[in-house]
Amino acid sequence: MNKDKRNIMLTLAALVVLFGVACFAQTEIDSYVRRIINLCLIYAIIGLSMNITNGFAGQFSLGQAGFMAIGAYMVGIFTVPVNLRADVFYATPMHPWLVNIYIPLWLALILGGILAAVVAGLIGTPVLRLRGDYLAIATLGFSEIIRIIITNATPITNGALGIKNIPPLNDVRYIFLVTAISYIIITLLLNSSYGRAFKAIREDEIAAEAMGISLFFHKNLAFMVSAFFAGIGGGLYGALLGTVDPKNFLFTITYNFLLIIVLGGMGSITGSMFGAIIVTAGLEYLRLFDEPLEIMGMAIPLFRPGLRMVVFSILLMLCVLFWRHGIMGTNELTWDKILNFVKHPLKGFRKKGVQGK
Amino acid sequence: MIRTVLRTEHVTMQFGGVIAVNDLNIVVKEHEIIALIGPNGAGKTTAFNDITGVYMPTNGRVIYSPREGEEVDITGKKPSEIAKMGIARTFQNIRLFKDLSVYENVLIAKHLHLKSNFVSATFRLPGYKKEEEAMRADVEKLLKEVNLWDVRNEKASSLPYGKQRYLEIVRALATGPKLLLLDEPAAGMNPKETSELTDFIRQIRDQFDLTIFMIEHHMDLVMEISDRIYVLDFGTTIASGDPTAIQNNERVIKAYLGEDEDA
Amino acid sequence: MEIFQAITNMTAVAFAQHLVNGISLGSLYALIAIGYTMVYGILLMINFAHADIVMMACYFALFGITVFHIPWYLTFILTIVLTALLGVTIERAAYRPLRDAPKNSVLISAIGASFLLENLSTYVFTGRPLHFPDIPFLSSMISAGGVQIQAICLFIPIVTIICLVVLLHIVNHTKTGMAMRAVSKDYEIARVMGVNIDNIISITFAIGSSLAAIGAIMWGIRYPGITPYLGVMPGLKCFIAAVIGGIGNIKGAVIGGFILGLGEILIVAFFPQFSGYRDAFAFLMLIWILFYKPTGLLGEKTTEKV
Repeated sequence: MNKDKRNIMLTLAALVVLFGVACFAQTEIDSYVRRIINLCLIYAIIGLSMNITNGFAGQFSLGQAGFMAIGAYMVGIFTVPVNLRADVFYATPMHPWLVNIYIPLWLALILGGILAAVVAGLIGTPVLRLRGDYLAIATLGFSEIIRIIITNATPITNGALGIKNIPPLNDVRYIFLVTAISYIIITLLLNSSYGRAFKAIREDEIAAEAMGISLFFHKNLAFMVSAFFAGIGGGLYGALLGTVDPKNFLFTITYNFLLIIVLGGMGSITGSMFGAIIVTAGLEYLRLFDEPLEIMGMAIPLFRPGLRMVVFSILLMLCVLFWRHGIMGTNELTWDKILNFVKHPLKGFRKKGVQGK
Repeated sequence: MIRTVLRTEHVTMQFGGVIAVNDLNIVVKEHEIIALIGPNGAGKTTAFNDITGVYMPTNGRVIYSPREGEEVDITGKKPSEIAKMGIARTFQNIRLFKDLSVYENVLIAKHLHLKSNFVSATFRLPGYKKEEEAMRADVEKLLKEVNLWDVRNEKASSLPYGKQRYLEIVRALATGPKLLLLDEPAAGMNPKETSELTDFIRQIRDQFDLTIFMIEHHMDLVMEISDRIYVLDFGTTIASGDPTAIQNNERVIKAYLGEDEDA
Repeated sequence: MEIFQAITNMTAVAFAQHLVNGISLGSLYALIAIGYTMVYGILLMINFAHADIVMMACYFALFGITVFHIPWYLTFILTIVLTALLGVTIERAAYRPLRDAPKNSVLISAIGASFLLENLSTYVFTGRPLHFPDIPFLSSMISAGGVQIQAICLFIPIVTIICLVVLLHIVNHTKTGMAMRAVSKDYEIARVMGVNIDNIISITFAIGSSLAAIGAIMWGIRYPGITPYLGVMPGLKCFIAAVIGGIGNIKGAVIGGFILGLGEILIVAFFPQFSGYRDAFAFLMLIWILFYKPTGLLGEKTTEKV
């Protein structure tokens, strides 16, 4: 059997196994842990979406929070049961055109992604001409503008009050499926000729252009696809939380995804998944820093709310200062590597000294 | 009548107070190998950049003829558009996709002619699969031509310098150009390598039906292979003609002031 | 006058009020924007942490006066010194090690430093807004021709102009200033010519942070609600101000600051229905300048060597 076919079979088999695990988790594991697993999967989607622009196309965008918000609000606005809406929009009534429109979650997710992509296309046109820092500030700014608009468009979004009563989603199987599908599609795109064009732009824009790659088209494509999946992730996020609030989507949430891709490796798909797992689990584990800690009956004065995020920020700094390539760098965990390891577990360790860069 | 593939009409490039290229009028005919020479800083690469759309000329036009009977004003068009029309180039300081493999560097250069859209590509529809197969077959052929097939999975930056220059040329070839612009292809090469490169350039010109326009400092390469030569000094064309005429031209000799070819 | 009033529904007095507010805000933006533009001019990076340095300065001043009971004039001096030290420390710890790394890494490090400062503040000072101390004559209101202004509003533009004059003197008429200009024009050549790059960079950060501290103190008096995230929005706006004026250009940063400060106040004054969107004004200006003159109003066109 040739390599590609083998890989596809292995991947499908792995997905089936993982889905089985998800089913098991859904029935056997308590809802708190399931929440964390779901959050991890959602972060994996959004992290990978950020990797498309930042890691693969080399465009430093800090706009994920805004696109997440678009997806989350699409879910928030249209999936709350109609009879509960007056309750939610108690200060300002919901816009009459929207009040009676209800759509199922899957449709809200897709529409949210599409709307995010459209907004990205509009923003991208002027903004993607910018290099490095300027692009970062501009996308950060637009992310905030989206949030400001959401905060002010009260008849549509309920403004600063946020939207509650979103039918909660804590189903590991559902979110696993969306994550798997997202990862598959993104992987297919990044491994195609278009994905290679993204990498070319990352490596050397001028050379890429000289080889016929339209910077405008491809940068926008990366940006819009990235926004699409950030929107889907945001929609799932809204459903997971059961509420959406403009304060959930401050640009600081983008930093979570930044850490995910730096930690996992900017330019690695499997790296984003690893990064998501570590960051999500880590953030949960770090909660212990927010609680008062007693060792042998003595209270340690440092442990109180806020320490968690300080530790998180320090980790981000350490990561970028000392471990800029992250776990995977630009490499992927491929079936080849897994099978090689299984066959010769010790080989890797013996050869380690010879590995060059 | 041999067709003119490229001509520039009074192209001038001014940066603030500096006139880098002054009233450039060159003609490149089909299948010719034309050289652009001149001391360092004479404006040669700037001229290339004017032609390939990296800079917008302050004045003048660049006219390109992709096939018989057709002429396009490509002045100030974007580099990617110009590449799609059939003009490819290499760079003075080598601009390979450093962290990507040798293979990917060349494969990427085939992207510009892809007809499948990104949806078709993502979902591997039959149309795209066929195109991708064809692209890969072509890349294999090209890499084998220059003995880079064996190192195809190495990072481009890990190749020895001379091989990197060949890779850049091959990458440009992969775009399927009619006109190839080479910016100092022999830079840093010793006489033996330069001689091999000379043969290589002639070979690809014949094999791929190319017209070649190059900037070069290695005079043996230039004199050996060029049909005609243009000489630039401080942005102005001070001489043009066939190799013998240029070698005996007073102004040219003075401009170089007995400067030997640099290694 | 009457025509003006009829069209805009605003009295002359109210307009003067808004003008004063706008000039004050513009001055503060200008002081902060200078820090961004100087660092970008030399290191070609956005010091994301600059905004948070402003925030820290506010906390330093606040604590000096209310917790340690140091007289306000001493506290202010101490604040400036501490803030300058903070700026230099951040450069040493977060930026210098990455000087040879790809550009993105420094950007991420700056983001990390900014985030760290914000979280550190939240942890140490809690997220509750603290009230900046009222300074005897500066915080009080003065009446002038029917216009009610806070005394500090008279000081802000004056202090800003003084700072600007001093700064321009340093930059244009001292050896250090010359070195700074050399490094921002051509980093490599300056180094080769014997300029101590590390020192110059540290001085740049020290100056930028000092100006930020001065701005922060006046900001605190003017807008006394101090929170860990107070620097974020102004920081973004001030960077945009620096871009509008021409990044790397000190006078440009000042002009940009005034454009944004005045513009923000006046737009909300004339169109109160847009007051929720006041922060968006700066970003709209960013888009405009990127289309109209990407190098900024006072910027020079540079071409990349290919």
